[in-house]
Amino acid sequence: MGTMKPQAQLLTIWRLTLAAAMCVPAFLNSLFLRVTNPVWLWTTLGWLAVFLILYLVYLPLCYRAVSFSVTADHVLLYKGVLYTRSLTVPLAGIQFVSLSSSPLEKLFGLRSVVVVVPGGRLVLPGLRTQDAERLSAALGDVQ
Amino acid sequence: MSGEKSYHAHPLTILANLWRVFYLTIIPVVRGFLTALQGGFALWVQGAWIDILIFLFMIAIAVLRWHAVTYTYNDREIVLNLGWLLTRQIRVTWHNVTTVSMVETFYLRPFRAAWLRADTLGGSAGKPDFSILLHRDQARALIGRQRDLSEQLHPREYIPRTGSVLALALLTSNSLGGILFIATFVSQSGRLLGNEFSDLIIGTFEEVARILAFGIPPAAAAIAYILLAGWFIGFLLTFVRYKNFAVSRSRSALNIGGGIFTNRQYCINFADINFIDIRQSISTKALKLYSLYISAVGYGKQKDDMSCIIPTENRRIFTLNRERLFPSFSPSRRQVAPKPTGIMRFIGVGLALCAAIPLAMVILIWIFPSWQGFILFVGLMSMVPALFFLTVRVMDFATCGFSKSGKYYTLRYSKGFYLHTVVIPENKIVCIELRQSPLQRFTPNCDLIISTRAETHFYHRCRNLNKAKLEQILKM
Repeated sequence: MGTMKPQAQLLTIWRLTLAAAMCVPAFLNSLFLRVTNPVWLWTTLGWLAVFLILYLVYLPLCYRAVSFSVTADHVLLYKGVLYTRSLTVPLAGIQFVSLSSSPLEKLFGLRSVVVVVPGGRLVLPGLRTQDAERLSAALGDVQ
Repeated sequence: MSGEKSYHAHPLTILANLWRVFYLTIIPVVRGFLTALQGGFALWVQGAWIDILIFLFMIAIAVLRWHAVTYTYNDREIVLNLGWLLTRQIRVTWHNVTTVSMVETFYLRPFRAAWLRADTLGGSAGKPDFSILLHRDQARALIGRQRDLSEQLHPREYIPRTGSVLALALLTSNSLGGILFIATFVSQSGRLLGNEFSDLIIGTFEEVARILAFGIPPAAAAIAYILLAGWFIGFLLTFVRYKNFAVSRSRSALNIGGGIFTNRQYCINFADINFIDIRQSISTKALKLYSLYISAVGYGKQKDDMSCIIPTENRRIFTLNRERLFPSFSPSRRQVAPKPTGIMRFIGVGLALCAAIPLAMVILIWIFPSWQGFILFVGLMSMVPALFFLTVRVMDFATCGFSKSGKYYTLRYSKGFYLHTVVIPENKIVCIELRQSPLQRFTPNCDLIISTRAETHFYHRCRNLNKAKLEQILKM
């Protein structure tokens, strides 16, 4: 199996999750500070700046960094922006493989393959349902 | 399993089931009973009948819970039935059991009872998969059965000298464990014997600290004596735990036993040993002493468990016994070592600590000039572990590395105040990670993080090794 990339919709899912998460500082800001208060302006600018940096720069870079492949002996996952990480899981160590999907992933027809090893797990995110099922079956057969 | 004989847990289980509420109820009940003996029995029953009923109800529940605990076993598996209202059945095949242990504490001995614990790769990371209080002979039969399965041919045995156990207790005891023990003792004595008693202990300690301050501020003396007492208690606990320690190796099992007041016995499936860890602190490194620990699910899991295999020995005795007990786990020479230019990756944190403490002292003395003596004492005391940490990191830089020989990986690294040489069989590795920090991105180096088989995430980290060389050896 060659190198695989998650579907582009994964980036949209991350961005939507980020937008939902940013509702929390926005809500707290409105709850505790008045609009006329200068602190409100600064905190609003602060969370907006964080949101824009994550939305426009960090998440696309995160998405670009993620790739995975399955060789005859290993499952390999590459990820990370600030800290780049290459993770290798020997196929012999796999205990079981499961498929998971959040409501947003379901909406976009995506699933994540979770490779469970003793004391840890490796998540291969953003696969189309058929691809995820095929990969899960292939990894399951290896055990 | 229907034809197998079913056994009950030891009746002392009733007391174990009752224990959480027992110590709260026993004092008022005994006090009431003594009052009753002095002639006020009817009056006592009139006033306390609801308490007595609740107490009897708790006993009845405990008896029912004990009666519901049964187990059966055969050559293939052990089946445990637990629970009276909510029933639960645990079925474990012997093949999947990594460690069986038998713990016989001093207060269980008169009742001829012992705890039998078994662990598999699954289940909770903090406690055994099952733990049952049995008659001692039944527990021995079960642990002996597991030993028999392991074909005890040509056993190889290692019994450390008392000096070796003493050295282990002396060099590895830390104050924290002892302080926790003292704190538990004081708080429990307050609960059981009244707050006056715990106040008396604390008051006496304050008085002693004031008398033995010898020119340093009493508060600083109190901290020093707490640490010292904690270390001493830790030393005693470790010594008592490892006294009479013995390890024997058969073809497919490792049998370990020891302890004075609490006798512990473990039977570990040899194929389930995840790695061996040769551990050295600065002092043992300077004295050329070595300790050997192993990782196997169920061994050294609980806080009062044993986790060591060879306590503290010189190089010759250590190597001899390591080769006898673990002939295949042989550390290989370093194939990848950090470059001299990468020293800051090792000593950066230690140097920062050593610089931050005097700086913090200066700032604090400037803000609180009247506390100068106390701040100086605490600051100087804190410098000791900071310098120790820096020294460990310098040693780590000199010895750190990675190698592969056959189907075994050897990693040399430091964690906290210890230097580790870890030998891991290839099939016990669950994940290999090469991680580059933003600063390492400009160099050809990365950190190697290897996770090994365990119930919870457990990893080993070698810092600043050449990425290309690692990828070549690891075939990534």
